[in-house]
Amino acid sequence: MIRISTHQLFCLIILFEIGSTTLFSMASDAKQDAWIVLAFTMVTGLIVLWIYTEIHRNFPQKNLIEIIIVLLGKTLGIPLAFCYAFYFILVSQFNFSEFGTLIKMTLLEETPQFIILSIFMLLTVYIFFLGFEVFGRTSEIVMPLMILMLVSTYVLIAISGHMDFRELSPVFVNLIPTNSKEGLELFHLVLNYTSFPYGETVVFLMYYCYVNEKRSIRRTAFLASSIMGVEFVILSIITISVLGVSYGASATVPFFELVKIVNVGDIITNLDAIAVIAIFIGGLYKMGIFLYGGILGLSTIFKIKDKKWLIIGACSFVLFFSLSKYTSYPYYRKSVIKVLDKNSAHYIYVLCIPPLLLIMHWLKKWNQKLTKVKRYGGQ
Amino acid sequence: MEVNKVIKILEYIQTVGWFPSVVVILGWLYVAILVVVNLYYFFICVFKSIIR
Repeated sequence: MIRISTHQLFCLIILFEIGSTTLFSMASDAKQDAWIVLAFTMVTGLIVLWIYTEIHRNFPQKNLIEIIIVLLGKTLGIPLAFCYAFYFILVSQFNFSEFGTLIKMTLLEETPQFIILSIFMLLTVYIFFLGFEVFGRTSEIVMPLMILMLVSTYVLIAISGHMDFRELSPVFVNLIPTNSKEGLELFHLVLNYTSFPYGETVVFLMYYCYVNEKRSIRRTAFLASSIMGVEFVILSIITISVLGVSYGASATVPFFELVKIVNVGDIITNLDAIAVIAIFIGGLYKMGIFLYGGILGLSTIFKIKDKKWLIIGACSFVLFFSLSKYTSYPYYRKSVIKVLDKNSAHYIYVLCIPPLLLIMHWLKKWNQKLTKVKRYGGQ
Repeated sequence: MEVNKVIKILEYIQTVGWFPSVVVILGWLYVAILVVVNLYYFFICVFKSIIR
């Protein structure tokens, strides 16, 4: 039986949310007002998180797959449980390709993609074989280092003197829609950055049941997400004020560009290799949490206790699907935008289905209450 | 109109691959199913409340 502490959960959520957020210029469609959008999505993200923790509170000993089967029954529930397991594997596969390509683009340009991805996957398989507790414990060591790296990067960028806060003005210009189309775009932007990264914590519904202190899960999740929300706002302000609106939006990896700029007295410079390793660690955790969530999902559906063959199967599938499908970064981005941003798997599995499941639980409870009143009320 | 929609779906499947397409299409189908099931429970509850 997996057991993780609330501190480990906190570290895992922090690392998970750092994950791929360092790769993009978040909410860049809002231009210089991106940081305001991110501050607002922090609130909407916490609402979504409340929904997830409320689902868990109603079923404290069950993971998401078991909750779905209890609520919908086997006939309707098992196909949806499969969908969730596949969704987790799909997102993990996107992250896997993303970070593999990042390493190839920035550090190991001459190394074949197959070698990079295989080593990445071997490491993941090794961690999974050791168990999720090990994953949780390592997060306790890695999380402070990641936070230290991020904070020191921000401080060094500020010391370098490249920040120009005039890039952030005029404020609120892009947030006042003049017609319905712009209003809809803004709404989509908020939904996008609510589902990513806050909504993605739906995968933690697979792990909440393994946390020792069930009472503090909501507080821990809220605290970790709030800290990360503030971090996203700071990162957005720094990206815009250093790189500018247009370059910040068009740079392949804006955080990497930021780190390359760091130069303190010609002594502290060329930190890009360290930054890439740190970004990669964030990616490893995000990918690992999603992939293990998918594996746990499949093992719950098939009632498999020894997960070794499932781990090997799922990891091999992710590796070979990535190698065969995503041969280049631009093609990969196009696919991701089609699957996750626009159409979108995130909207479905993160914003639509969990609230519907919670409403269904409330309605079922209401129905039971009415039935009881009817049965005993007349006696 | 309908043919265009089918072509769009096929283009989508071709671009993103079969695995993501299955996840997205089944997902939307399930959203519809859950909405119907929720409405069913809601009307049952309202009906029971009125009868009571």
